[in-house]
Amino acid sequence: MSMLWNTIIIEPMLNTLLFIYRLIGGNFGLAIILFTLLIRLITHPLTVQQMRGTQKMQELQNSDEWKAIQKKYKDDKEKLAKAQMELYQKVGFNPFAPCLPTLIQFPIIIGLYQAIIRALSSSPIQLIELSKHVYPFINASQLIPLASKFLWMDLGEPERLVILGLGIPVLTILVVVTTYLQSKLMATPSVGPADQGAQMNKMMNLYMPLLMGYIAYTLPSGLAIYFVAGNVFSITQYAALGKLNWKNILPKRKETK
Amino acid sequence: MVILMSACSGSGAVPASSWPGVSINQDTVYLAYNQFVYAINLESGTLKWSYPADKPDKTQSFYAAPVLTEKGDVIVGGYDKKLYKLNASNGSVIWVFDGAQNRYIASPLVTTNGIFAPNGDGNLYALDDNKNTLWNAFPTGKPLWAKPTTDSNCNCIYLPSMDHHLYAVDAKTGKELWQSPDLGGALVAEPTLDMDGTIYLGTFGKEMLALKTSTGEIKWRFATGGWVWSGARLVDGKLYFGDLKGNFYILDATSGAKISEELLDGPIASTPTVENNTIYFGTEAGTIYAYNLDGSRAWMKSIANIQKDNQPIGGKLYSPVVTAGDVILVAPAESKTFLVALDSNGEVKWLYSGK
Repeated sequence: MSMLWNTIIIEPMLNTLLFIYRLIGGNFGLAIILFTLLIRLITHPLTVQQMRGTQKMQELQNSDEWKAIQKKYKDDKEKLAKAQMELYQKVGFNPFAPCLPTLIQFPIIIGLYQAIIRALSSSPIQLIELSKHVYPFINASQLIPLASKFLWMDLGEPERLVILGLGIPVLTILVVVTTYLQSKLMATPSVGPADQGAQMNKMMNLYMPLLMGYIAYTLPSGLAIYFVAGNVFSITQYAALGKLNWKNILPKRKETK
Repeated sequence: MVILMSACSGSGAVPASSWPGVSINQDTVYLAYNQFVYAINLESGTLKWSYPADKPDKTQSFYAAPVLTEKGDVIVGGYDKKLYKLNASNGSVIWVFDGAQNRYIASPLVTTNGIFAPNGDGNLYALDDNKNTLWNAFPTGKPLWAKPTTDSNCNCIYLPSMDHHLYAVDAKTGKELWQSPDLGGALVAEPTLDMDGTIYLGTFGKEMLALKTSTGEIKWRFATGGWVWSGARLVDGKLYFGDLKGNFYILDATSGAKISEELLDGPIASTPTVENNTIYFGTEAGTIYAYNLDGSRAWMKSIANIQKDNQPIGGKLYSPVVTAGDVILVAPAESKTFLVALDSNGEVKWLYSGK
C-alpha cells in the first residue's frame, strides 16, 4: 500500500517539485509557491464542482419544503433523516456530491505535504529515502542538496525573523491570519441559529488557524510557505468565482427595530 | 490533514532521523543515538553511563560517532547545533561549543593540531582542547556531512563538502591550499587517504574518484550504479565500497579498474571496516556481510532477524561496522535494539537496547 502511495502520489509530486526547482534556477521557496499554484490549477475543476454542490445544498436548505420537514420531524431524528433523503431524491441531489471533490483532493494535499518534506531532506535517512524516489531524468545529483535559503528563512527549519534579538515567527502569524481569513471568507451563510453546520464552522474558524499556526511554528518553514501560498490561492480562487463572503469579516451593523 | 500533520510535529519521544554513531576505546563502546550518548562495556554490553544521565532534553539528539581526544575525553556533536566535550569516565560535560548555526551530522576530526568540526551550516570549526577558536571557521558553499581526514605529512585537512568540492585546508592556519573541480555530486563520506599521494572519495554523481593530494586534480573516475554514500576502504591496493543501489565493488586503487561487482540485498551506506583480513559492512536490508580480501564471501547474517523476546529486532544497517579484536559491533537504525555484538563467526554475544 505504501509502495502504491509512493508510486502514484508522492513520486510524481516530488519530481515535479524538483523539476520546477531546476527550471527556475534553484529557488526552493519559489518552487513551493509555483508547485502549490500548479496543484490548485489542476484541482480547480474539483473546487468548482464542490462549490456548486455546496451552493445547491444551501439552496435546498433554504427552501420551504426543507424547513417544513425540519419543523415536522424536529423530535424524531430517524424520520427526519428519511424525509431528507426523500427530498434529496425528489430534487435529484446527491448529498455526498459536495464531499466527493474534497475527498479526491485529500490525498493530493497529503501528498504535497510529504513531497515537500522529502525534497527538503535535512537528515541522512531522509536523503537516502529521497534517492529512491527521484526519476533518472531529474538528474538529482546536480540538485542535491537543495538550496534551503529563501528570503530570511531556512526552509528546513522552523522560521523566526530576528529583530532586535527577538525571534519573531512571522510566517506563523501569516499562516494564522490567512487561515482565519480563508475560513471566514469561504464560509457559507448559516440557515438559522439551529444550523449544526454553521456551529461547526464557527468552531473550526477558531481552532483551525491556531492549529495550523502551531504546525507552522514547529515544523520546517517550507511547509508554512505552502500553507500561506495555499490559503492565498484558495481565497483568490473563490474571489475569481465571486464566492467570497465579505460579510463574514466586516463588522455587523446593529439591526434597527 | 491537520491531524496527520500535527502528529508529525511530535510529542514525547523524538523519532530518529539518522543512524547510530559508534566508536570504541579500549574496553568502552561509545554510542550516539537519538537523545543520548551511551558508554557501554565492550565485554558485557552493560551501560557505564549516559549523557544526559537522566531525562533527555527534547532539543538534543546525537548521531555522529563520538571521537576521543588524546587525553581520552569524548567529543560529540549534536543536532542542537552544539559540540560537546564529555568526561569519558562519567559522561559529565566539560564544555559546550555553541558557535555553529546548524546540526552536527558528521563526527569531528581530532588531531594533535586541534578539533576540526564540520557543521551543517557549511563551515569547518577549528578549536583547541579548551574550545578556543584556532582560526576563523572555514566556509564552503553547502552543508558539511562528512568527517574530514588528515595528512600528517603536510598538516592539512581534506574536507569533503556537499557543494561538490573537496577542499585541502592548512590545519595550522585555516587557509585553503586547494579546492578540487566540481566533482559532479555532493560528498558525504570520509575520504580515504593513500600514502602514495592519492585520496579516494565517492559522490552523489554516481562515481568513485581518485584525486592527487597535492593539487586536487582527478587521477581517475569510476562510474557506479547509484549514489556513493559509503566511504572506501583501501587494503593492499584494492578499494572496497558500496553504493545506494546495493552494489558492492572492489576496484584496483591504482587504475580504478573494476575487479568485482556484486548486487546485494539493499542500499549500502555503511563504510566497510577491515579486521583480521576480513571486510565487514551492512546493508539497509539489515544484513551484515563479511568478505575475504580476495572478494569471496566469508559469511552473511541478517541482523534484522535476530530474535529478542521472541521477536525479530528489525532495523536497517547504515552505520559502519566497528570491530575490536574478535568483537564485531553493529548498530541498527529504526530498531529498539541499538547495538549488537557478534563474534568473528557472526554469533551474537550481546544486545544493547538503551536505558
